[in-house]
Amino acid sequence: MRLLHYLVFMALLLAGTTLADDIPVERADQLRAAYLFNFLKFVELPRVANHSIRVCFIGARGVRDSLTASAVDKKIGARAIDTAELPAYSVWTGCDVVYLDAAEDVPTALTYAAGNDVLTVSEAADFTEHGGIIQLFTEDNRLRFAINVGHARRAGLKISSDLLRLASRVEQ
Amino acid sequence: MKARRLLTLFIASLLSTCAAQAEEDLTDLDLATLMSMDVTVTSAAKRAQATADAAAAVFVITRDDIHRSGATSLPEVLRLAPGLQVARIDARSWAITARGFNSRFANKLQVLVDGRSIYTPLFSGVMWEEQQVPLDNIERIEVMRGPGGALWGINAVNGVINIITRAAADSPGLRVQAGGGTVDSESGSVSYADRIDSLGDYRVYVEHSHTDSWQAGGEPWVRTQAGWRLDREAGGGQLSFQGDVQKGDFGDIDGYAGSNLPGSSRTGNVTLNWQRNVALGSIDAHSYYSWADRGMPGRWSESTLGLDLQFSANRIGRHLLTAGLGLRELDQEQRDPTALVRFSDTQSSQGQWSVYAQDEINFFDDRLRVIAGAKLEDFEFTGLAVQPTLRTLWRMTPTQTIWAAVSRAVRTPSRIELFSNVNVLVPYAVPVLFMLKGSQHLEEEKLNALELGWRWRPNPRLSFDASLYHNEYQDLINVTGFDPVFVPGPPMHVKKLFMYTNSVDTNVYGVEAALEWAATDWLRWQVNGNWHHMVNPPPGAELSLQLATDPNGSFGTRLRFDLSHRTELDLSWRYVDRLSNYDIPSYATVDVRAGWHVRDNLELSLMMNNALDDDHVEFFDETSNSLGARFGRSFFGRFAWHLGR
Repeated sequence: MRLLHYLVFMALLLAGTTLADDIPVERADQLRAAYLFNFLKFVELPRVANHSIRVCFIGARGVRDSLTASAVDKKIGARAIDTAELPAYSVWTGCDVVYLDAAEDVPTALTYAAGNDVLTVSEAADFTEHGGIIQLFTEDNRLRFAINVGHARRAGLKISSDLLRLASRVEQ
Repeated sequence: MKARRLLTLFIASLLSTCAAQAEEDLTDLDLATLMSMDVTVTSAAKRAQATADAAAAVFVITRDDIHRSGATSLPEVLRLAPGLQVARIDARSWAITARGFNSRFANKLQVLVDGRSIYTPLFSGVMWEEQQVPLDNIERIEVMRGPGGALWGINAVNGVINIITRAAADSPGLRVQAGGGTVDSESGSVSYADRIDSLGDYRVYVEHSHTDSWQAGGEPWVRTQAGWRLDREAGGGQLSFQGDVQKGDFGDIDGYAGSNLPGSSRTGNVTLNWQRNVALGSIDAHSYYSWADRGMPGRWSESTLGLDLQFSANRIGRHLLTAGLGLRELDQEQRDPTALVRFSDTQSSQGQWSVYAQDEINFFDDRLRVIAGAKLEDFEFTGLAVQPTLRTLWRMTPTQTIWAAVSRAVRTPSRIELFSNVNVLVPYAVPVLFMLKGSQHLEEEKLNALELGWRWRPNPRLSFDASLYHNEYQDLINVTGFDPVFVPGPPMHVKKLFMYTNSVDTNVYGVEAALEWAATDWLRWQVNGNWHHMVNPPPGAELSLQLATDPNGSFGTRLRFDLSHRTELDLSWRYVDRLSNYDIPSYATVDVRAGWHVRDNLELSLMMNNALDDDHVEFFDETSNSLGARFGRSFFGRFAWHLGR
């Protein structure tokens, strides 16, 4: 009888370890999603006020999942946050923010930014040189960012001075 | 009946603890706080993870820490890590260890630069005078106290120091640094990094330094080093090809057991690292060839060829698997037949292999992690060594984490302990032949360690880290003296034999703690301390080689002021308890650094070490059987200029 209880207990424990319905989100992705969420707070997006903010992701599945999970019950001002997957070579209509995975072909993807008033964020190297607005990078084991205000202005975005003050680099 | 009730109770309580606690949500934190969080550390699990998630006593020294410390050499930088014992013997020699057993020849720490081990098999320790990584090229240094044998192999008994250099692309342009002072009388370095589209990003550097001896009448230490690094994509992944050559001359008659050849060293290495992400995970390959030619003992030359391969699997359900294998080929030769320190084998080579595997399993929505791993290693003289570890990490609340670990680690005997064959005839009335012999029957030293740690972050600007440990050492190698034997002759003499034996068992327990407070945007304060106690101190050997010269504790604090946008002031104070072995008194000292960013690309800084001018001795010079140098106040000024992005 005791043996049976013991076996049942072990079976439950093993079942617990192998049946994972919750895939834990990596902390690195959580950190980037948190930065992205904060950027939304400091950038004035030129869309109708009562629509939700749509954040589109090219790749970066982990960051997207993390932001989706955290933004469930949060609002920026009066606007809820919506996330969506954006296939690599498709038009960007409907997106307020596009987060590009550094592993994707970023220069080509950025050509779709023209004409759309979109905040672009990525960790790709030379992102701002190719037309991106906020570039994430790791320095001194901390996550930092650089902002190109020229590109932001052309996209019709207004960036709060609070955010500019925290940026490692502000480019014109 | 009772068993079923207990089972139900157990499961119910587990489920309820899941439900009750909320996962820490980083989006609740403000940007300034997020910007103060460490991104990754790799030493604890040999794969990237957040510092806060390491189930080990880890501390990361960042580029900024190195810059603000005003350090001019690698050992000085290591003073920044809580829990490390760093003692300066003279201008070029240091005694560095973690958790006890300090000596110039401390042998319980594994130290790596970009995956290449830098300790010498001569005495299983590090020749710090040879190991200078240009400080400006360091990205970060991960210091892990405690046994790391399961991942890092033999010799990672008391800790692992992992020095990671910057990628070539991170330091573009031309950088020139030069400085001079009262002791480090001149030093300079030039480094240039750029990109050749067909080749990749590269960096080359040259550095030179001249340090006066702290001992009256001693000779200076002059060093020159040059190296390169090339990063490029290859084979679907990232390839890094780097190397350094170094030459150092110190005219001191280095009295290593009376050897009177001038001290000098010529060392170098070539390293190839490759990393690639594949569908199931990522692959890391490291290979290196390093060599050293030294003046002593007896024109010694050694070389190491190493190859390491690791596979880190992507998450499968609740499991994160890591596995790897390593190969080493070590060669040594002593070319001077008249040297005092002799070896029974003038030339030898050994091959070694190792395999390791680790699994990290998480439960309850990543609130509880269990890590189990082991390394199996074959060493020529001692056979197979198994180094297992079991660790657990529990995120009790969003601001508190506790971790615990049980591990076993070994240290294999060094060349000196295996092959020493020193014979010195002293002409007394009846001559005495002193003999120091190694033994090829030595067993490896063993450590069984139990560790406990606590991390607390009550608010985003304040963090507190503490760890407790209990180490059980067995078969520590020490020099044992035998009774003298009278030999009637002819010729008549007395034989006095000393031999390396596994003769010491001892227990050490201690505590380490560190606190960091970002009080304001312009003021940061850090304080740390450690205390430890050795239960059965090993007996003093009749020769002057002490197994452990450790203070009971030490304590230090740093203040960083950003006085304005362009000026900085850094103060540090440390206290180290007395070294009872040699009657070296305790000391406290203050270092000050002032920095001025004259322009965006030009910085001047002035350092004053031992500002209070309390002359103090930090250690004992085991090679000359006398106290180490006395350190008083010294100044050093430097400028750093860079051209390019």
